[in-house]
This record gives sequence, structure tokens and C-alpha cells, in this order.
Amino acid sequence: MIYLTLFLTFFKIGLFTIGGGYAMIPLIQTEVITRHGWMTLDQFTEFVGIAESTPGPFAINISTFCGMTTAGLPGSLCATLGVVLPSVLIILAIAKIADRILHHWVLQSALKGARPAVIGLIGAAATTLFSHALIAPNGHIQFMQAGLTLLLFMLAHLFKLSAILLILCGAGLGLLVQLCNSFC
Amino acid sequence: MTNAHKPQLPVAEKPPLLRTLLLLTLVFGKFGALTFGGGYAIVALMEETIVQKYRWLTSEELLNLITIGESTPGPIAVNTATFIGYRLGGLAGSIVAVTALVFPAWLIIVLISTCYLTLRENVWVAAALNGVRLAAIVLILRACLKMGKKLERTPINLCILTVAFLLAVFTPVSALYIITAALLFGIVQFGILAHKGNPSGEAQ
Repeated sequence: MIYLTLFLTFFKIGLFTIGGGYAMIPLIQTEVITRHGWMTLDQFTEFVGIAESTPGPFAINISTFCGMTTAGLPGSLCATLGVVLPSVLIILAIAKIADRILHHWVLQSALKGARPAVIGLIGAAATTLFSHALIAPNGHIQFMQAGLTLLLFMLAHLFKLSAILLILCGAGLGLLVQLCNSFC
Repeated sequence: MTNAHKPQLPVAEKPPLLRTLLLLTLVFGKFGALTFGGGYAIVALMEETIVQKYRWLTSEELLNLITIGESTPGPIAVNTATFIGYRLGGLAGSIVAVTALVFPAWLIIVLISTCYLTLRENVWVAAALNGVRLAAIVLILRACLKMGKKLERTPINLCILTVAFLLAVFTPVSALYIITAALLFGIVQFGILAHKGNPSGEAQ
């Protein structure tokens, strides 16, 4: 049953999201796209941009969207509930003894091992998403895409653009390219 | 009872539960509906509202809660909402705070994704979305670099980072297993082996 599968998949993703919303990206990529094929890589990347320009926690935005595209309104409820539930259960379980658990050497050393891995995974997500955007369906490299990405990176770096402004710049550049293509 | 005879409430005294729940709904609903850019943006707003305006927590307590949010699995905003809700209103408080946080974000995305799937067919929308996609890649890269800057530059950290990166790019191994392996490796490397060299005390 799709609803149960959605719930369980996002429960797992919630359980393994360590260190904030962006840590979800590699997890969604392997679990939702590669394993279940619920959405395409293009849709996912677009939605990362949309999620950054809409209010609310990134993790909630992205799971609602995955659930919605996969199985409509009930799907969005299952995915969102799934991603939230591990947090709530864990925090409630440790709420009274949080101080003791937090400084326990097992948790501290496990997190110390996970942190660099999460960074590597996010870097890997950026790499695969970029190579996917770069290579056209017929196998040719699209230099325009590479140039646009570089330009956006420079803009983000030089002007310290906020996420929303960067997304808007991206949309503007995309439209500009289309304008040139249709009139030149 | 008239207001005149009512003693002034000290800051630390707990207000009645129903009032707490209502306030939690309003405050976390606002966080869910108005903050852009994920967990840390919400943390800044929490400092303003929860510490300075309502004085539910001291800023040190809030910082502690955020550390807990970071060191437990799950989105940081959800973890912090659960904890603050629990502190102020028990189980009911935590459920109310999380629901209020999640609901606006959920509603907005439900509306957007309904339009998105039909609008996506349009050439101009598709062109704009192509640019959005490239900008999103830059955002992911930027988040990665930012987190990388904070990481201690030790050979072992670089090693874990590189192995995770290579496995994720070149093999179909799920990120779930890579993270699990890194957690276990951390326990062995930074916990058990560090204990051996330093039997008297805690791991660093």
C-alpha cells in the first residue's frame, strides 16, 4: 500500500536526518528517487529551489511535496507525519534525561563520525544533481547550463545573496535564456 | 475576582495550560508560516519571541535545546518545537507546538504542488524552473561548503568525508547505510579507541 510505504520511507528519512534539513537531500535522493522512483531527479532539484523560497522548515516542505506528487493529499499527510514522528518520539523519550544523554560518550563519538559523512553526502548530492543538469538526454554536454551555474555561484558568493534572491536570479536567468532562444 | 486584587505574576510562574497551548499555537504557527530558509532562520526568530518577548526560556536554555535538536535525528525546527512544547505544556504542549509548526508549511506546499504539476508543462515556466534548479544546486553546494568550514581539519575527518562522497557518487549504496556506517565508525574510532589511550576519563 502506497500510503504505508510513503510513511515508512519518510519515517526512515526522518530518523537518519542528522544536522538539519539539507542532510535530507542525499537520503531523499537514494530512497525516494533511486529506490522507489516516485519523482524524477529534475522535479526534485526544482523543488529544492521552491522549498527554499516558501516559508516553513525545509524538511516539512520537501516531504509534503514528495507525498503530494506521489499520492496526492493523503500521501502528503503520510510523508509529513512520517518525517516528523521520529523527532517527536525521540525528544519526548529523552526530554527528562536529555542532559545526561547528550554528554554520553557513545552519542558524542557517533555524531563525531556522522558529521563529516553528512557533509560528504551533501557534496555528493550537489555533484550528481549538477552532472544531471549538465548532460542532455542525448548525452551531449550543455555548456550553457555549466555557465549559468557558474554565474549563479559567483553571484551567490560575491553578493552573499539570500536563498530566495538566488532562486529568483535563477528563474530570471532561465527566462532570459528562453527569451534569447525564441527570438534569436 | 477583580484585577486589582490579583498579585502580579512573576516571570517564572507557569501560566494556565490552556493559555500556554494557545500561545504555543500562535508562536509556532508563526514560525511555520513566516520563516524562510529552514531550521536556523527559525532559531533566530525563536530567540526573539521565546526568550525576549515571552521569557519562556533563558537564552542559555534555548541554546541547550538547539544543541539537543542538532544532536538528535530529525529536522532541527521540529526537534526544538517538540522540546519547548514539552517543557511548557507537557505532552499536549509538544503535540500542539509541532502541529502548529507543520500545518502552515504543509498547507502552502499542498497548494503550490497542485499548481506546479500543471504549470510545469508551459515552456516559460519550464525555462524558469531550469534556472531555479541550477540555483538550488548552488544552494546545496553552499550549504556543504559552509558545513565543511566548521569541520575540524583532521586526516580522519577528511577520510570519512571522502569515503562517504565517493560511495554516494559512484555506487548505488543508500545514504542510510553510509550514515549508519559513519555512526558506528565514530563510536569505535572516537569512543572506544580514544578510551583505550585515555582510560581514566571521557572521550574527547
